[in-house]
Amino acid sequence: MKVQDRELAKSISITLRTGILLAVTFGTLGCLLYLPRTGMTQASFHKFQGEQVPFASLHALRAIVQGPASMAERGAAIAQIGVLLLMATPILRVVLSLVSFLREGNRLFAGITVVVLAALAFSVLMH
Amino acid sequence: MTLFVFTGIVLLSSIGAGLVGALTGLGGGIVVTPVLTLLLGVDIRYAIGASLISVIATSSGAAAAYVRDGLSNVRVGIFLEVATTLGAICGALISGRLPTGILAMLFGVVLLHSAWQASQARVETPSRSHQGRLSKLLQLGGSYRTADGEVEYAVSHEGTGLSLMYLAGLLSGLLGIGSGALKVIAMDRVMGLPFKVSTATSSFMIGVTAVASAAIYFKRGYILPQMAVPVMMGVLIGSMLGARLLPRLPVKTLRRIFAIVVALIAVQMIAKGLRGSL
Repeated sequence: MKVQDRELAKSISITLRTGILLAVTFGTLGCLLYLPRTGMTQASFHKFQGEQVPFASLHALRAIVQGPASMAERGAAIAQIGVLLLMATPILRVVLSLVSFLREGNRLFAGITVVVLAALAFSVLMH
Repeated sequence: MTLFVFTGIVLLSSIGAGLVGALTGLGGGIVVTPVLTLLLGVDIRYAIGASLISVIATSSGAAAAYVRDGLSNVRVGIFLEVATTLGAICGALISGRLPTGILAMLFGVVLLHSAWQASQARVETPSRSHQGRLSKLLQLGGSYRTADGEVEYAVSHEGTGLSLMYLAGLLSGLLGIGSGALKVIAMDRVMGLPFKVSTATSSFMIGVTAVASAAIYFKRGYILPQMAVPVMMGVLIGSMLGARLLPRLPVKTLRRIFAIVVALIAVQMIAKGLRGSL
């Protein structure tokens, strides 16, 4: 591996590890809150509820965590934030690669990374 | 079934999914989806959401180790991501205008053929003589550590590789699947990367491809924490184990596992096309 690639690899690896650690922390915390309280209820996920579930937007999640929701609901919302952190990890990885390419003056790869990022932003914001 | 039992089953099967996903570069949706839909009777849309989370978790869990160990070719990965992400967007935009059933069947047949091909050993030439022009410009070639020391490899046929990646992205946007199989095959059979580098680079890439769809499905309510969290935890554990295992396993064994998994995906794809349940 080339020297600058080693730097890039190191920063990507650290990004991924940090993302995993954060996602697992929130996920575990959330589970510890909701699972003991709802663990004996029936698990029924055979019917799709669509966007009615309160876990489909960051806004709704924040409202649950702050608001007067039950501890079980709060736990589920915290766990879902863990999932969102996992989803943010690959995006952050692309952003940090861009920074790293810009710093080493690799315009070609910086350009390529910008295209990837733009495509990603398009699909995240499109709907 | 109580939520305790449900969570336990999902967690355990996800460990297996992460292990398989990390070793093959495919992401483990092939394990998660049938367990959720067939065994646990979960609605297919929740299963799709969970399987996308599985792909992202495999990618992060495995790539953290693969990238550090220099097994993933980061340059090739980023270069090819352009084509997959653009393809995925085009796929999402034209979905609904194409007969997806026929597409799924065609894709299944292509995968069956690829599975057979992938099971055949290929001479992995350690020379740099076949380096393509674009590959030279972007310095795509690399080296990785094996039991016999550092092995250098060249990257060729970048144009064909890019087109296949675009196709992979297009299909994943159209059919709602992870396209790890095509990614690995394009790198291994067309661009001449060593098999382990191909699967490790695919593991590195699939997170970015999957997150684009996952963001859309998240807003539609496909992702429930009671399902996504045990999947995430299990897959992370499994993929980290897989990433430690991959460097030690012989390429022959890996090819065999890959071929079996791709053949299973192919059969599933053809069945879906025939039933029209896409």
